[in-house]
Parts: sequence; C-alpha cells; structure tokens
Amino acid sequence: MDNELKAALRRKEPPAGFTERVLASCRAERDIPRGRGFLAPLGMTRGWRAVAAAALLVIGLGGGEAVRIARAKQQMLTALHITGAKLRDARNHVNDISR
Amino acid sequence: MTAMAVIERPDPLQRARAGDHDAFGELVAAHQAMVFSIAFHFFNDRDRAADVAQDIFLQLYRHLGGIDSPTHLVHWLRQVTTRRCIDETRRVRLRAVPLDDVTELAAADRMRDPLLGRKLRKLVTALPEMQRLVVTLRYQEELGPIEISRIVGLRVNTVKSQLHRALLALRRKLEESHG
Repeated sequence: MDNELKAALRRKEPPAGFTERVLASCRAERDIPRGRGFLAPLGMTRGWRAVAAAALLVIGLGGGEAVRIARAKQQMLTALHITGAKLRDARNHVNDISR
Repeated sequence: MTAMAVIERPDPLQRARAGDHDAFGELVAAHQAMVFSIAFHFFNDRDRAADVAQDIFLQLYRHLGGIDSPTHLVHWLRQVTTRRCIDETRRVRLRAVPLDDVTELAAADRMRDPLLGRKLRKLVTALPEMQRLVVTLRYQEELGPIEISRIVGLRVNTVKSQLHRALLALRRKLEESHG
C-alpha cells in the first residue's frame, strides 16, 4: 500500500506555461503604481499607509470631538453670562422698587 | 601562479529577495511541482490546483522578505498550500463525495481505467480534508508525522491517528472495489 500510494501521489508538473503565468502576475503586481490615495506621495508601503490613515482618522475624530466640546462650553458660558445679566437686571429692578 | 577568483553566485532566494525577477522564476520552477501537486491531490482538479498554486506563488512574491532560508521557503510553501486548500473548500464548499459512495466510483473506474494509481488518487480525494492532506504530505512529500504536524498545526498523535484512519479507509475501499 505504501509504495502504491507513493506512486499514485508522486509530484506532477503543472500545466505548460505555469511559470510564465506566475511571473507575469508578479510583474503586473510589481508594476502597479504603489501610490493610490491621498497618502501616496509620502511613498509609504501599503501597510504603513493604512496605519497612517487610521491614525489620521482617530485624530480627526478626536479633534472633532474636542471642537464640539469647546463649542458647547462656549455656549454654556454665553448662556450663564446672559442669565447672570438678566439676574442682575432683575435684582436692580427689585432694588429700585423697594427704595 | 595565477590567482583565480571564484565568484559564487548567491542562491536564487537571496537574489529574488534582492529584486531579481529571474531568480524568482528559478524559485517558482524549483517548487511549482510540489505546490501544484499538493493542491492537485487535494482537489483532484488540475485547473483549480493551477489557480491555487499561482496565487500561492504571488503570495510568496509579496512575502519574500519574510523568508530567510531555502528550508524555510519549502516549509512556508507547504504550510501555505495546505491552509489554502482547506480555506478553499470552506469558501466554496465542494460537493463532498461520502466515502461510502466511493465504491461505486472505484467500481466504475475499474471498468474504465484499470490503473491502480488513478483509483487511489480518487479514493484519496474522497477522504475527509485533514486525512487527505496528511496522506498527501506523507506520500507525496514523504514527510514524517512530526514534520506534518508542524505544517498542518495538529499534534503528532493526531496526525498519526488521522493517517492510520485514512489508510484503513483506503485499504477497505480498495478491497471492496476489487471484491
């Protein structure tokens, strides 16, 4: 059985032209311009471009969040300022009446 | 006395890693029969095996920097080929032929084709995936259980039992087809 299996499963050559097809596909892969997308001019490899894009996305999202927080804080301060002014006006009015 | 400078040419792997396309062609030519045959004995389909082998060499081309020796290259190719074969069957589930039905195939084969080799290959193709790979690595590549276990990622004892079961099934089916 061992010898029969060895004979049955011996290595076989792939179809003719196989090596050439492989080399052509590798050449095509090599000749594809590396740079695609807005990070291409940096000349980074595909992997590093993905990392950089992810980092920019995170920074972008984080930055956006910070801007939103700053804007909300400003709105809150404005609201407090207006409320304080109204309270001051009301207190002055009450003081005027009571005099 | 004339001093003769013998300039040794680096091996194809080193040259291919340095960007020599012809050297990569030498690597493909040297290992294509191994890669193609593992896939062929798994799928029993020459076109499919050639497609899989072509993809694997393209993957090798991208991964050349990670290959540090000719031994590593052979191990890498065997490992990637076996994984790819399993992934392929999971991606596009093949019409599995239950082993019990193989008697019919083998009997029909006996009428058409008296060659034992072809019959055995057909029986091997009908084995469960892992048994098929273990048998192929054992008999095509003539590897021992320890090396097979490193390639397929199973324990050595599991490899031995898979091989044992596969051989029992093959022997039984072969006897039935002759009986």
